[in-house]
Amino acid sequence: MTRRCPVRRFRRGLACAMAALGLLLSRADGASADTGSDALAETRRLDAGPRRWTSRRQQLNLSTKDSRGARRERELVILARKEGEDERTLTVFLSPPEVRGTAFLQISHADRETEQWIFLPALGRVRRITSRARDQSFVGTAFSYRDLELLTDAVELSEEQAPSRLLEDAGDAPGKDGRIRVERRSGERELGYDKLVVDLETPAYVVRELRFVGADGAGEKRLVLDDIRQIGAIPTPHRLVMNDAAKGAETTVVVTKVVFGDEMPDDLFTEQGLEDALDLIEN
Amino acid sequence: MLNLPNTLTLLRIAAIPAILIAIDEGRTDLALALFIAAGVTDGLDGAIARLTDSRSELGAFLDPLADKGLVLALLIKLTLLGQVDGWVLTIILTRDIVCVAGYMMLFFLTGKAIEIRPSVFGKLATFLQLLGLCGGLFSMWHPSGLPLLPIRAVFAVAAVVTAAAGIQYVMRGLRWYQETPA
Repeated sequence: MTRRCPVRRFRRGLACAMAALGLLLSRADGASADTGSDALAETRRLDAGPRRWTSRRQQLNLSTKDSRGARRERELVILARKEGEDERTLTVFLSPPEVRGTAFLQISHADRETEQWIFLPALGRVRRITSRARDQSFVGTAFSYRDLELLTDAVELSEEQAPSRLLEDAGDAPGKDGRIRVERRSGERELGYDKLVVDLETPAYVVRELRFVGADGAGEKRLVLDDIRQIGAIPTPHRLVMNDAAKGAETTVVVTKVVFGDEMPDDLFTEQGLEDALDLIEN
Repeated sequence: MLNLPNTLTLLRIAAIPAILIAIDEGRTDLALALFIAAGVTDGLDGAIARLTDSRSELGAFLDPLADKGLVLALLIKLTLLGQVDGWVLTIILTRDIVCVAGYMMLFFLTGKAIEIRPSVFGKLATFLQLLGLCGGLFSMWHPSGLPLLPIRAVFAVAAVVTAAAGIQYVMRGLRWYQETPA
């Protein structure tokens, strides 16, 4: 009897400790997403918290295959900077010679429409991309200007701007790669598509796929974000493939270098700075 | 028993939630600063206790509790953020559970407390864990400043050394149990 009591006490103590640890670990695994809004909010929370960055420089190789199978290669640099709730992104083409110097500026605002400008060296002037022109192809790629806008906004838009709905919570289902699928539709913000479907990989809450679905259900475009590499705490996709089934076009983006935290001059991210963006980047 | 060394240890325990909150709020600079401060107090409290001869039983319990709390809380956090491989956390957590459970078991079986003496492997494991955590926090603060590969390598070595230290502690505990009358 005297020998069993301590063992019982020990077992009870151990069971309590294990239960407490199990509870701690299950709670530590991030908030479970009961709604699409929850999943997007968790992604935003991580992006604004441990995964927060202020500036990012990316070097990319871009390859576009058109409907006739012709392939075009591009080399470019994308600089991005966060200023409060706004994000400024500057894309500059380095090669080939016919597009070299082309510069595109996007300013994503939290509370109003995204602004876009492009500088085409052949025309020698900066052109504002109006909302009517957003469905045009971005420099011959499978991306439209609107897609570039939604690439930033897919998660960032509030529920009022683009209401969400959970389509499939595959987070705990084996063999489903831990995905949560959220559908977003136009609200205060016009998405330009019938709906936008966002696939988030859990438990990291990283965007892995975007589907841009047209009004008639046809004309679906699909962007897959792959080769996710961890830089600090920031999961960074290094391969993006945009497929436009209706047009038979496909653009593959391979990120060759990513640097976070670089100093970037203010005048780079202005409409006026677009003409000199190539010089500013190379010097 | 709230002398200076124990106060420093309590401050180190208080720093644990503060570091986790700082990470969640994106203040990784603050998290790193608090972690380094906690590391400094870890060295200081022991040194002050020895120099001023103010070692206490409370301090002997609080000090490892603060160390384990800090390391495990941050390891779990960094694993969830993808900076530490899951198997590293599993090994370190298992070692600690086995050691704590073993200590409790021996105490309940014999009614006597085994003296806690960290081995060289144990000290090295703690150092490597703290080094890896420091690197992990630094890379969160400055993502491109330090690649994850060396940090993951430090954690991998830490896991192996931790496992070796765990085996050593288990052997030591078994030997002690055989030699100690119930």
